[in-house]
Amino acid sequence: MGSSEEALIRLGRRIGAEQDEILRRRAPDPEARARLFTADAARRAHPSRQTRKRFVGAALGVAAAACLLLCFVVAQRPLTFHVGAGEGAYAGRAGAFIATPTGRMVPVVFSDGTRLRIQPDSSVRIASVDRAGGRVVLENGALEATVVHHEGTRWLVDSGPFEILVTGTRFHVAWDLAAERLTLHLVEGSVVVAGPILGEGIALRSGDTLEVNRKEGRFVIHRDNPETREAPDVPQNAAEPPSLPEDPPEKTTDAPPPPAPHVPRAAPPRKTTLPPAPPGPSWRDLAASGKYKDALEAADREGLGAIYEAGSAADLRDLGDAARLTGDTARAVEAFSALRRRFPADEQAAEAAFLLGIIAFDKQGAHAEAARWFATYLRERPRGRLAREAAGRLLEARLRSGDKPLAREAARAYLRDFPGGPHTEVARAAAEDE
Amino acid sequence: MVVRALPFVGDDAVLVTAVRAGNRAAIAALYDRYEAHVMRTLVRVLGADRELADIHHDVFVRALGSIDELRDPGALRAWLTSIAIFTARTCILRRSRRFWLRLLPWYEVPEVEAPLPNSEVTEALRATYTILDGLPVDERIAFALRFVGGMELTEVAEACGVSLATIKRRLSRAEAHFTEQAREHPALSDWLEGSARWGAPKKR
Repeated sequence: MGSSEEALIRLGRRIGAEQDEILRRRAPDPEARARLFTADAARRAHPSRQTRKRFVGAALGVAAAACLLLCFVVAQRPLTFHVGAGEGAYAGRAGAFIATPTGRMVPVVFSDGTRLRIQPDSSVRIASVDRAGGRVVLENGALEATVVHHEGTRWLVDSGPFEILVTGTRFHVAWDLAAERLTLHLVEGSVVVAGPILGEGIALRSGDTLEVNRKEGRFVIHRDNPETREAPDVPQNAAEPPSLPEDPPEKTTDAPPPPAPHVPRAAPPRKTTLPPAPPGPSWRDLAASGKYKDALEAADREGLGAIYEAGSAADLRDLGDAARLTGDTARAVEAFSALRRRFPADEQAAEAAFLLGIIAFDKQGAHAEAARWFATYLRERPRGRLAREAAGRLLEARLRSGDKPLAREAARAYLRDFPGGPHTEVARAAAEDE
Repeated sequence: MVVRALPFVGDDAVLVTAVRAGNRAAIAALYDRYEAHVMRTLVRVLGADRELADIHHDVFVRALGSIDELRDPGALRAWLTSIAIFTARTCILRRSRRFWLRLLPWYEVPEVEAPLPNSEVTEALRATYTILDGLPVDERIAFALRFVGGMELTEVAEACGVSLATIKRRLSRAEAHFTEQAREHPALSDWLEGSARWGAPKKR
């Protein structure tokens, strides 16, 4: 058995035990049997109707399947594409890597009419194509895209760590790998851009230019209609109604595409700069959506000291969790310590004790200290929701720190309070180890 | 005076015969004997799911509707397991079709569920099913039954109605996909780094 499989079995066993515990606590459904009787009675009352339904259904199913099969075969064919122009053009395949030379632009034309103009000195990979679109990776440089909209069109353009979701639109995008700068100018249509700093997705409309400086953790949207769009869209789950009036597309077709990364080429739009801090979604939003590293960075920009002193118990807990889950032990300890200092009677403070124990145990190998934290949790919340876990960890911590008498005591307490828990075997062994 | 029906007595073969005859006490007994097992199977495959109660009900309705097709009444438990897996699979596929359709209008970025402050095991549980949500349905089922459900390979193969070789292939792919993604996930990476925190694994 490989170590990976062993790890998965360990993980699965813990998860299964947790699920069993959740199921054990589940409230019984007194109506469930009655509903089953009703459903069964209805089934028995209409057996012939069911049979007829099955027959008609089967006949219709065969006919529909034949039609669908035909449509499916036609519709599932992935798009094809050609790289280059004129006699030098060649058929490309998914996975194709295209590096353009200095001073020469290379066009890529897809069978649905979508066109890319890869700017000089750029590296692009056509990562995949399917029947509705594809995924293009701009590794460095710039490209101009004209995506033709069809029903179900879905194109993704990855530029460094940023993802641009497109249905039908025309835009220029430049990604400077060394400077970690993304510039995207939307000529027409609308796109959603997601990635670091931007969160789950920021919607752009025609005329918008987005500039992201990843190194500085900032982004700016230049907009040419400040009356209606003074503030940038809320990045978190930004949804843009398709019926929103769009700005007239800029006159760009007569001019050559801009060299990367200088965009836009139309009349310079009026600039809307974000307030200095914090750009993008708040650290709370980022933490809530599981983007712990980004959350921590955002909290850092906001000022960790201020959060420690003025944040709520829930804030400190979330901040501590974000730090813990990204491996930033020092900040996790700071946040949980602040939580315990400022809200000593809060449930979260007790759980912070448990988590400080986890950090001491897992990250610092400080088993005696970990044992003190787990004991603190059990003293403060003997019937808390983490009590079983804390009791098990207390036992482990005492075993690891070599304190046999205290380990025996913890083992007996565990067997008494949580018989059948996941540490039962360890506890039995420790309790009998005289 | 309160009159109560006597509880049904008999093994699975007797139970199946009585259910086929429409005996209400037998139907109740079928439910009582296997409701927890069916629920556990569904939870393994689906994780915490808002529709669990409905899906659980569907499993028993399907079972009652096809009880005449059960060839070996002594294998009632395994047969119910297969129905539970089939029902869960249908549910996942139905949702993935819905999700696909819902994704077409690109501006409908789905809501992100805010994680509750929970213990690390709960975080690992949630993260596990987030990753499983992204696996092909058959790989997901094989993975969930084998690793979370702790079933033997032969049991997984029987429950899924496929050969042992097929299950091994599915598990191999699922394990690779899962491990790759789990290593990047803060709530799971520690688990995969060989931590013996929970003791040596048992052979299952």
